[in-house]
Amino acid sequence: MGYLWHKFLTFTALSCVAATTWAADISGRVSLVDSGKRPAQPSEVVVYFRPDQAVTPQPPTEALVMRTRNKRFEPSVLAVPAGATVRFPNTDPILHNVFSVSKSNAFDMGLYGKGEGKSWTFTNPGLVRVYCNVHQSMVGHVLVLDTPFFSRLDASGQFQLQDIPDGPGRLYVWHERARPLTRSLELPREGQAMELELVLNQRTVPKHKNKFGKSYKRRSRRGRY
Amino acid sequence: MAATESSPRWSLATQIFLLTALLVVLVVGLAVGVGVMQGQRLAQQSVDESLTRSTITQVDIERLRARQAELVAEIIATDTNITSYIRQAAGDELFGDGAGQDTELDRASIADLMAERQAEYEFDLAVVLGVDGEVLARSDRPVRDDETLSEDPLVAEMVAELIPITDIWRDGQDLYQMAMTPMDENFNLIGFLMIGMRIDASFLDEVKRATGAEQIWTTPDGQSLSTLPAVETEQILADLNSSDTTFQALMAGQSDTYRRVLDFGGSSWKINVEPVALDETQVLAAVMSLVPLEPVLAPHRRQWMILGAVGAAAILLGLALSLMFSRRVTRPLSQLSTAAAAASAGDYKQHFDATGSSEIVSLGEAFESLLSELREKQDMEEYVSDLSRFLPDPGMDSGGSNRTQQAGGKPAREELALLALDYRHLARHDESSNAEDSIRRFQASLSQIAALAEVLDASLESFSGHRAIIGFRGAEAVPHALEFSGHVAEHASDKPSMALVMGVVDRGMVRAGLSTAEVLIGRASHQLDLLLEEADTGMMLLSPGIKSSAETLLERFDVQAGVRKGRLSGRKYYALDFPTLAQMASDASERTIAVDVEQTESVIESVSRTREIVPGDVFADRYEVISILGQGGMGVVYKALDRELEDFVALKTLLPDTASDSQYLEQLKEEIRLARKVTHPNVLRTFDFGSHHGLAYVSMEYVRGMTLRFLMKRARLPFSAGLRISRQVCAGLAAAHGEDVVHRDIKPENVILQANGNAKLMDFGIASPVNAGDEGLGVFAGTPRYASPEQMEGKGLDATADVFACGVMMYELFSGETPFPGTDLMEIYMAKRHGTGTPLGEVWTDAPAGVEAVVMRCLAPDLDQRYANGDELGAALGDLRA
Repeated sequence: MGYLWHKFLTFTALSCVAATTWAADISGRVSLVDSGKRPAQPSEVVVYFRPDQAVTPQPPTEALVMRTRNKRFEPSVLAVPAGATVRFPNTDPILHNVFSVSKSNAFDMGLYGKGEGKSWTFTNPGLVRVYCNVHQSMVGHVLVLDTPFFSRLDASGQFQLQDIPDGPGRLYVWHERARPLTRSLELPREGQAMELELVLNQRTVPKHKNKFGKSYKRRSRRGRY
Repeated sequence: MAATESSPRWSLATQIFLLTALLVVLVVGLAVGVGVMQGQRLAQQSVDESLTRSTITQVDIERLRARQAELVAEIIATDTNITSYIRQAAGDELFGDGAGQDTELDRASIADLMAERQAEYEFDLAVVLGVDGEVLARSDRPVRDDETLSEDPLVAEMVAELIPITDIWRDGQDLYQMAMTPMDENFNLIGFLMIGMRIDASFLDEVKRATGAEQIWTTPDGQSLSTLPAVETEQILADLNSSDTTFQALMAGQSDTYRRVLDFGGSSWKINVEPVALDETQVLAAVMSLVPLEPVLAPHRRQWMILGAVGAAAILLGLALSLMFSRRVTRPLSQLSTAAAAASAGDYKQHFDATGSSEIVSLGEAFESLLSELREKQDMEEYVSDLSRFLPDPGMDSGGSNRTQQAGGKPAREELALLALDYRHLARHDESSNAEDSIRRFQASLSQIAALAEVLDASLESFSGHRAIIGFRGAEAVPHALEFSGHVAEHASDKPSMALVMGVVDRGMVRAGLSTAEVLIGRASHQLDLLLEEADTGMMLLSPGIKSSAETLLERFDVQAGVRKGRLSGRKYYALDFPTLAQMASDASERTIAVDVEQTESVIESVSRTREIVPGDVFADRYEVISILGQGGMGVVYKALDRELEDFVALKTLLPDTASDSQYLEQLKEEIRLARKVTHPNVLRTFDFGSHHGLAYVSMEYVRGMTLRFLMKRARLPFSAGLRISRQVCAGLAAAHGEDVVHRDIKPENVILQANGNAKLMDFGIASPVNAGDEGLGVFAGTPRYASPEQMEGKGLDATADVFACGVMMYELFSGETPFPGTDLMEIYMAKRHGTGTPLGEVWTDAPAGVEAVVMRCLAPDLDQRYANGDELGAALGDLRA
């Protein structure tokens, strides 16, 4: 049974320690332990490091993009430094709406059709869930980080953070269905590449309609409903 | 000891009535019974159906409400505006520091959202749960911090299986129809939503409005909702809880839905009790639907009453009809029965007019015909019985059938011409004479004069010793007497002395001991004796009265009465001698055509020729002559004993003249050969033909009776008797015609009537044995009065000739008149040929309907218009009623 519902992404550990004096790299591999029925993708996992000595990130000069395509946000997870501007182009031939009820980054762009879309500048760090109020299944996650050291996992689950100043800090591994995995690190660190395991413990809900087209379980013993 | 109790004999009408009534009652009773039973079944079925409909509708309403709750839950659970809040309330675990969390605020916001939706979607309760069943918000009240529903069975099931569930959900005192569903964000579970519709009084009212059935919900702990007044609800529940074990079992989860009848509030109800249970044992509530029986049963009860009333009416009507029917059916039977009883008691004067069914009608007709037959027979018998007194008594046959007496022994005074004949030469006894010879000679003489008397319409009044007295009546009395005496004078072998007087005498019977004698008292009688004593043999003396009244007659014959001296006294008397008398008689025969008397000569001839045959003789070595029965046109008839068969027969000798004609004899033999084949009760059978000493004879069946002519002379027959005789003659005739035998001489003289009233037709082929094949022979044989025109023309004959003669005979029989009157042959023939006879209705004004038509059809000149034969005529007569 486990072969189907429990996927283990394992990566061979790679040792890769930077030799620069003023900056260190963190690299490693994250294994996803997923008991959900919908397999999680490594690209949905964001790894970020927050030095205790905060480093204010420089927002990119060009807007980052999270587009709507096929009634989905793409990419569904976007990590941006605080102060970055994200544009939400609509590539679908239908109206979409992009909004968020996040307390620090609440916005509502209203409905708009296909086009360049509108932009929003995320000034406050935090997790911003982006929805479309027309399509309930559309949800995107914008991680507004107060650190410039972040990365998504590649297809094989590996990550690499570079040019981090030496010193203590915390490493975070985030996925929407998991409590963030955190590790306190002292940089530069010695030893092998990190081997991490992220458990995706948030449950997924199957489609409500059963094979008979019935969505609700009703008591049948009495034959009432 | 075994007292035979006479069982009551019910009348047919009563039996039919009782049977019909029983059938009617049975059928109607059965129909009503079946109707009521069927009605009861239908009523029960109707109640059950009503209850079933009610529960189905109730379930439908609940299902609709459940679906409504489900839809609301769907809408809310998929509303991004709400799910985003709920997701938000779950926290943003980005940095693990709980930054930005404000649980209270989130929950309040969610609760507020739910309250808004509640107002919008009209549900009663919304509960938002976290992923583990912890209560995040309720629409009805604030939520405690650690409040959770994870222990609730339904919630636990949903959390475990992540499936939506709809069911009855109990929350404290309240019951809800609850739709519960997980909420997700892109399939990631974010919590659960419960949307509930409260089961309350308004819901029950709604169900009641839709189903027409009262509703009660009750929980095991005694909570209840009802559409009935509280008092009645309590009473019902108390009843069920205390005495209904099935209900108790149901509330304990050990019994399923059931139905029963319950009485409360003064009426009966049928209730359906259904458990609402979470699982096999945990019962949340019992749902009851109540249907009052009365409104459902009332229409049926009305129907039963109507059915009963109609049934009763049908029975009453059926009884009345069956009574009417039975009476109607049996009325003719009852009348018939009464008539039959009367008839069996001898009263045939019943008439029965049958109406109704064809069987009754034909029965009535048959009965009427039977009665008519009996009436006719009775009349006939009465008539014959009356007349049979004229018949000679057994043992006195020697007197001959023609020895007649007028009106029996009833005394009468009348004017007569009296002719006395005295054979006094027989009184002289000498050597050569003997008793046998003298008696035989007197017998022969007597037979001659009796035969003559018959022909000349005279009567043999009395005879004694060697004397006989003949009486003549009517206007022609004296000429007839003279004619009579003339014949005697001409033909008699023994010459008598004669005397003729005219006067009034008293006639009658006297009796002395066992002997009876006929007497004539009067001066005429005395005068007759006196004259006879004075008359010599071969001489007739006339009284002065006769002399004067016969003067004209004598002149006509150009004779004169002489005067003679009396034999004893020597006094002078008027007298006629025998030669003169003989001349007068022969002249008379030439000058008058009296149809009835045309055979006189031959009679005298035959009598004289056969005078040798006297009683005691044996004829043809076989027939012992007993007596002379009579004389007819063809010869003399004797009663004889056939020694071979030891039975009486009638022997008819034929005139010697005809008997010597060999061609005639051959024809006669052929005719008799055919006639012998006719065997019928109404036909006098012909046995044999032979000859003895040159005298041809025919032997025939001997019957004791009278000829119809004899009867008709005496008195007119009653119509019924005449009809009966006619039918019998026709029956006999039909039998003969069936054998291709034609009678050719139907007349009253040839019909003999037995004492029992049976008529027989006699002399087949004998009276006029002219062969039908001898057409154009031109010889007429028969009796002109009765013969058909074609017969008078001497043509060949067929059955229609007999029908014609029958018609004449019936005409005469019924009316006493003849249809073709006249004394001239040509006159009679012309009337017949042209059909100008007197219609029957003219001489018989009250002729019954149909009789004239039948009779006159027989008399049609055209053969084709008559009845074809005796059979057809008999059928036509059969339709007539006396």
